[in-house]
Amino acid sequence: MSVAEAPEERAAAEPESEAWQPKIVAFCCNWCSYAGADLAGTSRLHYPATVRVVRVPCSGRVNPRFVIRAFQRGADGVLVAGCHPGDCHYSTGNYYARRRFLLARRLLEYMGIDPERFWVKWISGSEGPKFAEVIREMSAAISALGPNRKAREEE
Amino acid sequence: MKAVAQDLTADLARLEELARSRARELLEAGTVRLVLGHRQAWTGPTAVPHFVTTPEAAGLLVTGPGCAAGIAKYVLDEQDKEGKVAVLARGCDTLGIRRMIVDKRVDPEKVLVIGLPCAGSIDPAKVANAVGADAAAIARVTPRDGRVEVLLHGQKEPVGGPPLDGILRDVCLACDQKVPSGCAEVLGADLAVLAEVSARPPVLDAGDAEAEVTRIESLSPGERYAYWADVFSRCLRCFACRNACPACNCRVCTLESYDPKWLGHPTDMPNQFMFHFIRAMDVAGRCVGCGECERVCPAGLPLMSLNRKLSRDIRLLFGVERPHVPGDVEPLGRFEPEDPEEFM
Repeated sequence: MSVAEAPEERAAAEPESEAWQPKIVAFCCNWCSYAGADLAGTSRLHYPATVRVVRVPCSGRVNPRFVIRAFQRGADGVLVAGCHPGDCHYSTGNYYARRRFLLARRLLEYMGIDPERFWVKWISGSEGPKFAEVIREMSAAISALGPNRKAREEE
Repeated sequence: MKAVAQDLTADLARLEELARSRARELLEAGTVRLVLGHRQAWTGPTAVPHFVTTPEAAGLLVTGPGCAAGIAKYVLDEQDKEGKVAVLARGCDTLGIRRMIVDKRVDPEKVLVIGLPCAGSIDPAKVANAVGADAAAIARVTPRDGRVEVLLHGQKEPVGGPPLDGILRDVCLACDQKVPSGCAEVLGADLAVLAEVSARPPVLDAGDAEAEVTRIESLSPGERYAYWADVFSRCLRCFACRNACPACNCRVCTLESYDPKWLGHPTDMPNQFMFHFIRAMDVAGRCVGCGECERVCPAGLPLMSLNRKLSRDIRLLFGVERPHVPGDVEPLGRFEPEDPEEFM
């Protein structure tokens, strides 16, 4: 296949099926966002079952290459969620993460990967409704974009 | 103007003499075990790295525009051996050495940095283009009267070439380190013309140097992906860019790790994207802008377009004016509570 046009063409050629649902990988920090996701669950809040949560000790644990790896292995969107700036369990982890992801998202965009597929959100342990809302929003946004084909391994 | 240019040639020759005699002196006194510099290549106009361990071998040392190869990275291996290493370093080399010292990979006690003022180094492809010959046919490039003379293989007389600025490497045109800083000593400080030339502001300002970055940014996402897919499809995965880079100095390289295996063996697009994303991101904020990655690339990939993009964004996002000059803490190793939140 021609490398250049393949991703768009294949995405366009793929029939609009009811069955297709985006796959979203969410890296949630143990102390805030994972607790937020937990609260969303125990509060019986509804959000699309498109998200796969990966628990990490801190948003600062997330190396930008995790994002590429997720896209490689079939993710359509990647979310990094951490404590609000100033609220990090380790004081400053999310500040470092913020700098890193500001840069990484611009680099992804520069390399032609749709930056709309990569989100970073601050969700505290008490923000169950926000977690559900972010997943709803992101799911809708990624659904609109369609399946990701860029930098993705053939199955 | 003509007289000035003539003097530059004389100054460059004088600098070469100074470098040789200083190397000889250091080796005779036993101050250092090794002097790192350049010597003329067997073929071609550029010089190759030269490892001088005896006073006699110092006579082969050359300096000047032919010395394109960066020599900073060799310090990493050489400093592990007994004795001290002296480096005849241009501005780019001193930045590379400083990078490895800040990264705590090179012991500053074991390296003696001898600064050389620099007028830039040549790009053989530009020379070939200017004289309409094959790059392999060029034997010598000699600065003369503000221009260069190009001698082709098999010919006795050199042909007149373009002005020196016209055949310098792109990184040299944007270089703000022609007068090396942070050295134990700087040779040729009394060479007036060379001092004047090396003190000039860069030929290209930041905007001009980043013109290619601006061009790629202006493409549509599909075109950008296609552009990089085309570039990366030529990548041989030889890791020359990593080996030459003074910022790529980890003891254990993630690219060679089997567990976790970040980089798969196939050179398919997902792995090529992973490789180049990792390489660019891991030197983000630590790249010294020497352009060695691009120079050594056998496939001629425009790797500096990735590095320049990152250093430009570091400048715009975090207000770091000169991200290529190693500070005590690199831009990604610190933060400000007021950092921007573009999309969070």
